[in-house]
Amino acid sequence: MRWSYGWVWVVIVVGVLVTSGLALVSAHLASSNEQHLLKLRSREVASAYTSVLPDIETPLSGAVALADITGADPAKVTQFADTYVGPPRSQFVSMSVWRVGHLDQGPVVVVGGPPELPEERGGVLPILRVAEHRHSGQSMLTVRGLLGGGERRIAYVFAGSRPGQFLVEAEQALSGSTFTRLPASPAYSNINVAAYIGHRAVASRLLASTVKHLPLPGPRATAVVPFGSNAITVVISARQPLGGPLPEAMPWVIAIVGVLLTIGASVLTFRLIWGGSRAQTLAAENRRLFAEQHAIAQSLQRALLPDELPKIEGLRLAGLYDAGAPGIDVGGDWYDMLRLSPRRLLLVVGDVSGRGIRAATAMASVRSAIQYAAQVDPPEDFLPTLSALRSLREQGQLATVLCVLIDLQDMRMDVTSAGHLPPLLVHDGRAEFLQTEVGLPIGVDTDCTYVSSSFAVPDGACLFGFTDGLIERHGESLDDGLERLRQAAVQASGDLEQMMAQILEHSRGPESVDDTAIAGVQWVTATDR
Amino acid sequence: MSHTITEIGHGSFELRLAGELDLATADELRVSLEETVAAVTDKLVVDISELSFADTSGIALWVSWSQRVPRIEIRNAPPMILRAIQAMGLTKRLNPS
Repeated sequence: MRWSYGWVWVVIVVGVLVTSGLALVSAHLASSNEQHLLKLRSREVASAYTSVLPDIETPLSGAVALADITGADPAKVTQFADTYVGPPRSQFVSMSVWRVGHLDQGPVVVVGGPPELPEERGGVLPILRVAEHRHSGQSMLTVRGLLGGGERRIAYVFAGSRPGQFLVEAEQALSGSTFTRLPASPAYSNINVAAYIGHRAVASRLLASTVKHLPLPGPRATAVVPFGSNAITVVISARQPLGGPLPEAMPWVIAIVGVLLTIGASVLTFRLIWGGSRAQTLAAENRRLFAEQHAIAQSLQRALLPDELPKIEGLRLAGLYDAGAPGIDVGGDWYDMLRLSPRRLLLVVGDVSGRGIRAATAMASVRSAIQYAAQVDPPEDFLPTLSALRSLREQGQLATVLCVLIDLQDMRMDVTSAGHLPPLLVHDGRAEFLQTEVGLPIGVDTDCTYVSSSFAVPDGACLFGFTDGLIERHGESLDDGLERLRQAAVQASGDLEQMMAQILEHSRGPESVDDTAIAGVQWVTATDR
Repeated sequence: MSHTITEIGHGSFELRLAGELDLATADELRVSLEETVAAVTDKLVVDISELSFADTSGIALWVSWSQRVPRIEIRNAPPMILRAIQAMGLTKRLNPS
């Protein structure tokens, strides 16, 4: 999948959508919860208003009973009503007794101030007529909202449960201003209240309000409760959130946290994509460079190896170089076959320690030095001088070299080893390593000596010189590797090149990354010739 | 690859190597022990009892040290490394035991 910065936008859009969705849901929950609480509180407040009804009904029902018993005796009625009308209680400003069926004649007894009677209705309050025509057997308190006089009053008319002759009307004065302070009660804490007489919140019927200017600020809830024959409408609003500050703050908290998370996630996504694309670019560049380097190294290595082996009658020669596992560049292994004279052939196999270009260039200089020196001296004489090669000494490298000087006439060979593994001689179904004295590797010391050992060549024999890449396996002894090689050589068949391919396949470790060089010589028998 | 250095006498040091000594770790070790090897005026003892693996690069490193100090001794060499030193004809040079 290709990284794209479009994902940053996807993260931002998703983050904003989720955040605003959660904030809206939270705000809706907080608001509906608040509305529910407000509704509950409005009912509480309204019921507080209706709790005054018994206080009003009791004196009125008492007055009606007294009027019925005494035939509305003015003295008795006045004596009774004085308790409620005027100081000290001043519950009512006016109380009057009316005779049922004769309302038009006006009140029979009036205590306190005169009742405020509307002129246009014949001086009779409509609620008096309503009370007059009540169903018998049922007491009734009819309530008239604000009377139209100079003073704000509420009028109550009471009719007893038994069919009597009288009705009592009482009028209660309200304070001049509707502005009021609520009593310190849990029912009123934190809320604004406006109370109206009647079934609707109409400004002209406002009884009291805790704010000077209506309507109440903020979300409101309304409760309508029966109040005698009339009703009281209570409207409330909250001064502070009833559910506490948390639900109200929640949408903001969610919004802020959501925006922060969205920013964080987008930055993270951006950095991941940025890092990812950078890593991809780097990886691609590395692959390209590595492939280039590998190709250069391979061609360098091929150039360093002999491209054509000498052609000699009675001998078959073959060389093999394997760079190791794929991805491995050049190494320090090499082989060489030098026709020194018509009679002498020098087979060289060597290994410069280390890997890469450094080892390959050191190998190239050792190899060409041998090519030159071998023309003049035998191996035991030229090997000590090679240690003076600057390319080895300066880099702390060393090279192991195996020289096999083959005498084509006498069927003999002289083997000299500078720290190198012994060559393997295969003949008549057997294989053996030619053990010789091993001298110091090249590059260790200029003051050293080498001893060559001479061996007779059996007719039809094969000789293999090789580097340690052929036998080395991690965690395995050198001798185990040599033995495995020996057996692979015994079992190998076919021509020289096929044998070498089989030996390489069976001897070398499957996980080996070391490079390997093998040089092979086969003496062709007289009958094969 | 880890190492510890102990001065065991005047101009003599003992170096203990542990882990695997290959081309990469040998290069690191060559750089980090440059001063120590330069300070050896008598003998450098390299204890490799805890070295699980050493290839030609590692052995070449010891050889390069042997060129700069009067005497080097490879101590407690595991059999496989001992055999590799023998195969390379370096027994007299590195004095393994």
